[in-house]
Amino acid sequence: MFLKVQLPWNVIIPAENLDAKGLMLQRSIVVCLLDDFAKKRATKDLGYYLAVSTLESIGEGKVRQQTGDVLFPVVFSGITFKIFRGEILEGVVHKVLKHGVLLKCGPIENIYLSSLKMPGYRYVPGENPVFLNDKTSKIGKDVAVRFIVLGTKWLEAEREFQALVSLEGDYLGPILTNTIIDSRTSHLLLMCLCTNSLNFYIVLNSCFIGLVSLQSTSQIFSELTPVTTRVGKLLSGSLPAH
Amino acid sequence: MSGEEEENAAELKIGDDFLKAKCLMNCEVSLILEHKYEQLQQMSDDPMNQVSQVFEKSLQYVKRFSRYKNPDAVRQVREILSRYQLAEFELCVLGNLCPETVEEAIAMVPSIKTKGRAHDDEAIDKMLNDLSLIKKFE
Repeated sequence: MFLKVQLPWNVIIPAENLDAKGLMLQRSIVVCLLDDFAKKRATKDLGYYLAVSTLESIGEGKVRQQTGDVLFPVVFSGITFKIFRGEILEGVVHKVLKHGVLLKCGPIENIYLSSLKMPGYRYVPGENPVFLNDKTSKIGKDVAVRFIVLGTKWLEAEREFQALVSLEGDYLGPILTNTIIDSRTSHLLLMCLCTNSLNFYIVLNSCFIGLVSLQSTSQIFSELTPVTTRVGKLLSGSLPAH
Repeated sequence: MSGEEEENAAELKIGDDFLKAKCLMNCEVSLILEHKYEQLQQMSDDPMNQVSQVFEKSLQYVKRFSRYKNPDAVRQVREILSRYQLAEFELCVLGNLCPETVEEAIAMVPSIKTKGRAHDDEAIDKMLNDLSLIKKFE
């Protein structure tokens, strides 16, 4: 979950950057704060540090003895990302291993989904290994997956979080949303959805056929079949607007 | 946070600090980060070099997982969801995952059905309907 937090911070301005002109000092403080913030990367309590949104206040500077640097206490608001146990999130598979897959979600790259926590899925080896289930649902590289967080771990040395996740639960698993179709066919795909009483057909225009020839047709279609289950949503107006 | 073992977002146990903290939906974060990125673009030729890895990965993520792109729609989503006495955390999970049915909504945010809260299926259904309307007219 992305959080909006208000943080106190101490900015230390080296003596040589001190300037009698007020504006320059303010600038040094902001530059220094942004730099420190990016370097900090993450903390156990608040998660990953994304961006500073506003500088709320700058306190009175205190001269540090010996160095002559000046320390300014500041308060600012910023955005962080923290992952919680029990939270349901969506992420993207970036690596398929024999015993499970690794996902990324926001700034976190080490999210492990073990094959033990993917009920019904079996490993299919090959050049592009995937996990498949009986309903031809596929978990492979670049597939978006909705999962529940079982546990998180903070690694102090790397300043990083790791998480263990699961698909055990209702409405969890790979998702095929219009954004994914959108990126895969990069604006070439004109989808026209026609319906008769029971079946939905997906009619693709010629641009898309050209693209299909680059990959195998059957592969594209097997990837598109889950779309039919979501056609209701597409028809209700969630097609990507170009 | 008291007793870290207790943390469980499904029961809305995420620590008092976070319960009160303002959460942001993916679509809101996307607007903020894209705005920041545009500002950097105006100042330098190679903005990707100026941002931290955390920023870059998050921007990629929210771009892919934002259900609403239009700033007005994003504002409306928050406005509509805040009519339903949800915790900040619940509000954002619903806005991020956009469940389509009452059953799915309860599976995504089990805490909305806990005792003592006024969410019957009808209210949840109305909320989901309102959300899908925004999407339709975006």
